[in-house]
This record gives sequence, structure tokens and C-alpha cells, in this order.
Amino acid sequence: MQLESLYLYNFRNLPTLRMSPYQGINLIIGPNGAGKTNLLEAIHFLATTRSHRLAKDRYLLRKTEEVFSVVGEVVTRSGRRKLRINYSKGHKQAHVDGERAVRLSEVVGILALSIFSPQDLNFIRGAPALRRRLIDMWACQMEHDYLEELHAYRIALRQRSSLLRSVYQGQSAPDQLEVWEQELATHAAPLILRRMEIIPRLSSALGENYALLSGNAEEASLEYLPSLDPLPQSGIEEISSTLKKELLMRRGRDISLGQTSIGPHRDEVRFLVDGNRADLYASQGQVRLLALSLRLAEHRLLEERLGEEPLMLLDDVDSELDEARLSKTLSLLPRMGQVFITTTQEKLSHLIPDPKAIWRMEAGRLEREN
Amino acid sequence: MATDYRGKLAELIDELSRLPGIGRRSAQRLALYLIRQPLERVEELAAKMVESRRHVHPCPHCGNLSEDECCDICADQSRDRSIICVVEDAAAVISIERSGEYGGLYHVLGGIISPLDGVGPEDLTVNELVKRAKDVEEVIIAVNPSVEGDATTLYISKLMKPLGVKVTRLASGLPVGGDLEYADSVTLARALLGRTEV
Repeated sequence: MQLESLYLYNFRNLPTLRMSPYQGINLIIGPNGAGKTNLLEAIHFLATTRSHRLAKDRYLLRKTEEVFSVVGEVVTRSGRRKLRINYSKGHKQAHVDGERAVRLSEVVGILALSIFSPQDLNFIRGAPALRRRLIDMWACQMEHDYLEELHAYRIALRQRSSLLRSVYQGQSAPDQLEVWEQELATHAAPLILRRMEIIPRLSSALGENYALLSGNAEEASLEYLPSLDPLPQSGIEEISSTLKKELLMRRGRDISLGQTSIGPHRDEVRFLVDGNRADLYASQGQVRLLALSLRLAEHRLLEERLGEEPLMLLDDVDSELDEARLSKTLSLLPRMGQVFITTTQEKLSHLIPDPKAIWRMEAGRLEREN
Repeated sequence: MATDYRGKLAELIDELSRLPGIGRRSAQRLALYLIRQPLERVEELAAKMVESRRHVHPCPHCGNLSEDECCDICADQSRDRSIICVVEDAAAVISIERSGEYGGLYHVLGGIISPLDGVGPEDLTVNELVKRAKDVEEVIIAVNPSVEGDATTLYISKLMKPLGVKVTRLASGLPVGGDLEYADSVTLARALLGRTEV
């Protein structure tokens, strides 16, 4: 898969920007604040209609402007597609091959990519909710139904919580909770099942990449700790009925808590290094390597599913990574299809193997050097 | 200098903006339109509002809107009295009637179970439904296929179970004239589950 052309209008600090990316490695060199991350963010936006930094759309708009656009031409196995996303007055409109898309979701996934950014370190160290979010984003990419189930699950969760409080205040009868517990269990089961399937796959790909980057010094893995424990192994019906029973058992406690104490929203996902929890024990270097390995793993699984290489975006990958690990990381790049990598340091241009395109970025302007 | 409407006109705008779907701007437009109309027309409109409010009421049997003792559908002796279709509101009755495919009776719930909006079964005509369902063979639940709709369906079907009445729900699936290629996967999955023999 390839991004053949990119055009940005009023995106962040970039009034206009045109780029015809190279089909292999694109190295973008520039000082801090030049707009390198914004360029990667724009590519991510074109692929997913969202910022990878989880920024609200209005923050993507250049100051004092009212509309922005991201346009790109993508060549995939199934052909050439022209994508365009316009933002105006709080609304996004997507176009595919010149035709208005009825839903934004029609654009999502045509351009597939994996992005590493310094914020990824939060996934390793931060609150469990961030890791659940990561897995959810991942599962949504793999299976469209996941998003629908997740959405329905969240509605059922809010409804049950609201009813729990109403029961606590004596305004509703406890037996009304039953239908919401049924709804929760129905929508939770596919989520749990999908997580059970995805996390081990991600874990083994993560482990392989981590071993490679660390020179086999340590073992890394990803562990799924469902809040429904023990988890029945026999399928969706059983997971659903077990969870429903558990919800009923916890009803009394949940009423006094005012919230639902079990379900996918309470699942834990943990990174481990040599069997130790990374959120508690990993060093800064280990955390960084984990985050990088995770994105490389994601890239590979995405490739397996698509049958072609998605784009790989690496933002500021060289800071905080020692020479040995950096060169191991860079040696993987030629196998990854089209790559975009940003840096503030000149030395990276010598470390990255040829062939490659070198781009200079300064104050929002981009020029190709070779 | 006047910066906002005052007096009677302001009061009218206030009243209008309380109507569903009417914002401040629409209320102003409606009010300004009304005061430019001939007095008789406005009186007629006011009278219509009062009259409908006075004469239209929920049917004591099914909750559908009616001007008579009992609604047209309940009064119609040619309709199949062994089957009840449960709907959220009176607008749904009209929709289903338009399909021309249904000849039974209705039951208007007056809403849908949603604790977030403070709506529980006690706020709906669920007890009335239980009483009516004792005398029928089938209850069709025709609420929207949302999470709240599913919960409402579940709640009602549990109440129906001890009565020995057959409970069904509307099939959900592909729209007529739709294209398989453009159907979202959830709709397609539901359509597969609810497939029928040809």
C-alpha cells in the first residue's frame, strides 16, 4: 500500500503543503516545531478521520481559519483511491473518488497504517483505561462489529448505572435491573471473545519484536486479565450467561456502589517484561522499547490481515533510544513498505539504509533533498 | 434602544419556544408570522389547538389517540382481536397501518424503558398490556431495535411468559431496495439470523 500524493490545506501550522511521498522510506528532518508531527497527524487523519494525538478536530484547524482539508491518493491492492476529508464549522465531510461519503466510516481503513509516537509510552505506564482503549481501537480495526457492540455495551452500562442509583434511592424496584444485565451480558460476550483472540496474537508479535530490538536480552508479553474470572472457554453463549449470573450476584454491592463492578470495562491488559508488570517495574528504556515493539507488532498483524503492507509512521523515534537499539530498529524499516520517519537529528540520515527519500521541513515548509 | 422583544410578543415567543423542535429563532419567526396574519385566522388556529386538546385523548384500551370513547382501530369489529402489536407511541401506529400488512390491535406504551431519562416500566402502560394480553394469542413487540428497545422487548417478553401468550418481535434486516454491498455488518448479521425460508 502506498500514499502517492498528499495535499494539506490549513492543517495545524501548515497553510498548504504538497508532498509526493517516496514509495519506500521517507525521512523527514527538521527542528522542533517545524510541523513534522503535524504532517504525520494529517496522514493519520486521512486514514482514520481522527488525530492520533486524540486532539479534537477544531484543534487541527490552523489559527484564524475556518476550513481545513486533507487530500491524498492511495494505491492499494484493490486499486487507486482518492480520499478527501474537509472540515468546516465543526463538521467533517469525507469524499472517496470525488463522491461524498454518507458516513465517515466509509473512508476509515482504505489507507491502513500504524503510527508510533512518543505518547505511546502512556499506554505502557498509564491507567488501565488507556490500555483498554488501545485494544478497543485495535479490535475495531480488525472487525467492524466490535465498534457496534462496544457502543451498545456502553449504552447498557450507562443505563444500568443510572438504574442502580435510582434503586439505591428507593425510586425503582431492583428486579428492573435484570433486563439491563441481560443487555450488558449480550453485548459484553463478543467484546470479551474478541479480546481473548486478539491479545495473545498481539502478545506474541510484540514478544518477537521486543526480542529482536533488545538483542534477546529480555522477554516481553501482553497479558489479558478479564474481570470475569475464571472465564468460560466454551464460547459466546456461555460467557454471556456466566457474566449475567455474576452481575446478578453482585447486584446488591453494585447498588451501594452505584456502578457496575464487572465486565469488559473493568478488564485489565498488562505489559510484562521478564514476567514483571511494566507499568510498575519497567525502566524508561524498556517502556520505550515496548511501545515501539507494540507498533511494529501491530503493523505486522495488520499486514497479515490486509495481505499487503500498511504504512508505518514513526514520530521522533530516535530520541531516548540508545545507538544499538536505534540501529536495530532502523534495520527493520526496509521490510515495512512505505515508511514515514521524523527526526530532529542529522545523524539519522546516515543510519537509515538506502534507498530513501530525505525531506527537510522548516517552519511548515517541506522540500525534498535527494 | 430595544435589544429584545418585549411585552405580549415576548410572551408568545417564550411559549412557542417551549414546543418540541422549536428553538428561539424559529419561535421568533413563527410569532412574527402570526401577528401579521388576519385576526380570524389566528383565532381559528387557537381554537383548533384548544379543540384538539379537549377532544383528542388516549384510547382507554390501547393508548392510541382517539376522539371518541374508543379509538377507530379498537372499535373496528373486523380487526383480529387475538393479536396485539406493541409500539412506542401513536406515530408508530400510523406507520404500521400504512404498511397495510397488519390487521390486529395495538398497544401504545407511551415510551421506552430508559433509566437515564428517568423512564421505568411504571411510567409506561405495561400493566394495562399484561391485562389485555391474557385474552390474546400473540403479542408482537414492535419497538426500535436500539439497546433501550431491546431491553424493553426483554422486559415485556418476561412479563408475557407466564401468560402463555406467543411473543414475537419485528424482524430486522436489509431495507427493501437496499444493496448488500452497502449494508453494515450488524444489519447483515441480524438479517442472516432472521432469515426466512422461501
